[in-house]
Amino acid sequence: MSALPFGLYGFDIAVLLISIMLAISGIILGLGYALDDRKLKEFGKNEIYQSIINGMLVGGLLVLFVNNGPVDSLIKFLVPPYSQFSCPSYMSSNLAICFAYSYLASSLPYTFMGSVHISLLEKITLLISALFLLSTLLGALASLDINLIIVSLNFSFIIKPFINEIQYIINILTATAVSASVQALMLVFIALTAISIILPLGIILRSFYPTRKLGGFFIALAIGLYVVFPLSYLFNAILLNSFNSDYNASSITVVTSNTSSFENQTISSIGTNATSTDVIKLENSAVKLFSSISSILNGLISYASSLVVQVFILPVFDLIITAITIREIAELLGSEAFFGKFKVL
Amino acid sequence: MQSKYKHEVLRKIIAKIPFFIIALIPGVAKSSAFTFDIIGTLSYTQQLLMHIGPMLSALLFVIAGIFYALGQLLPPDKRASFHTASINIIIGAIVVAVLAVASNSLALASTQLLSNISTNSIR
Repeated sequence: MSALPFGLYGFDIAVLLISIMLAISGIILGLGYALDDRKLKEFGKNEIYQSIINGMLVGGLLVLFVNNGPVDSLIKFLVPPYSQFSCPSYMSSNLAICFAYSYLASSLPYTFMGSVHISLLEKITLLISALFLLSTLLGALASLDINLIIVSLNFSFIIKPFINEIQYIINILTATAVSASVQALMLVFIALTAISIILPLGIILRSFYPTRKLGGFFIALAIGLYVVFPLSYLFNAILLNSFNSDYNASSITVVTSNTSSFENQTISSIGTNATSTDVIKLENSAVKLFSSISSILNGLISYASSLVVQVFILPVFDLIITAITIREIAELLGSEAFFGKFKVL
Repeated sequence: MQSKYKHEVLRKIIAKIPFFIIALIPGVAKSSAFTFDIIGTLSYTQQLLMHIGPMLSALLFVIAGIFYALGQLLPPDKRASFHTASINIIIGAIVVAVLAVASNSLALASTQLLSNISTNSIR
């Protein structure tokens, strides 16, 4: 029984509840006939229909969501070839959730459409640490006041705008890291609860007349969260894979190495009696450093923007698509699900 | 107006049946105070209903018989209505008996309806 999607005793509980509701409906219908009461008859008939529909749902969902069943096969079919993901064992039954987790926050690299990637969270973390290093080095440079014999140099007024920009980008990247972590936690929650808790709860609640609409909503919620939500991440990745920027932390490392070599040169110039040649060398090196920082800032901003799209904007679309699907399935199950202004969609 | 009120009250009572069942659960749970044997409790409730059904059915048959007998003692116009009422009660008794006894088999059969269709379509 452990392989069943409704937990260990979910199927037994669902069948017992349907059986109880059928017996109660039968008694009500019989009393309706005996008392010749139209409303009782209608109520009894409706409850019998609903109980049978519930039974069909239980059987259908059991077949659909069983391990390696049609839903798993459909998801496997939709995953592009040459893809391999790394995720916790409890996610491995649903390849879409496994991919979404690897894409967002896995600590190990994954293969997608033949190429190896690291998760968004790993990318962001690497970039943040590289930017921190760059910011620290630039801060150290800005605090230097070089007083040579022939000229006095201070780069703080040039460096400070760069530091401000970098700190602004670090703030954005920190927010994206938090968002990616939250989404990964949501996927963990979905993997652990959607089929083993939310779906059986929906079936149980749908068995009773007063909680039928709530039950329908829970069933729709489980299907939406388990199938549609992780699949939307897969489609995002397929779309982004075609124009993915190869900008990464190694680009920042080039600048940090430039910065540290410039810093070393400056410190060595201060340590010795600087000549005009040293000053020219220092100036050249400064120009090289600032031009490389300027060029990298440009790329960095566009890369941060692409991360914002991947971590904030596309997941919002995913949530909207999931919400609409949940609403449609809930309506199909005789329930109502409204998500604020998305009702109009 | 009074009939509408009566129906409303009846509907409210019927809607509360699941809650009554849930309220019964602690009383019928066979296990210790700290574990909740939901399967056992639900099986007990189902068995209870399977026994109540035939008993209610038998009672309805008896009532139908009384109605029929009473009708025979009354003038023809009243007799017709008593006869109709007794037939209705017999139909009700049959429905109660059939559905209460066959509820478990019906529940199991209904779970296999869609699964059979879906497995056949997959093949």
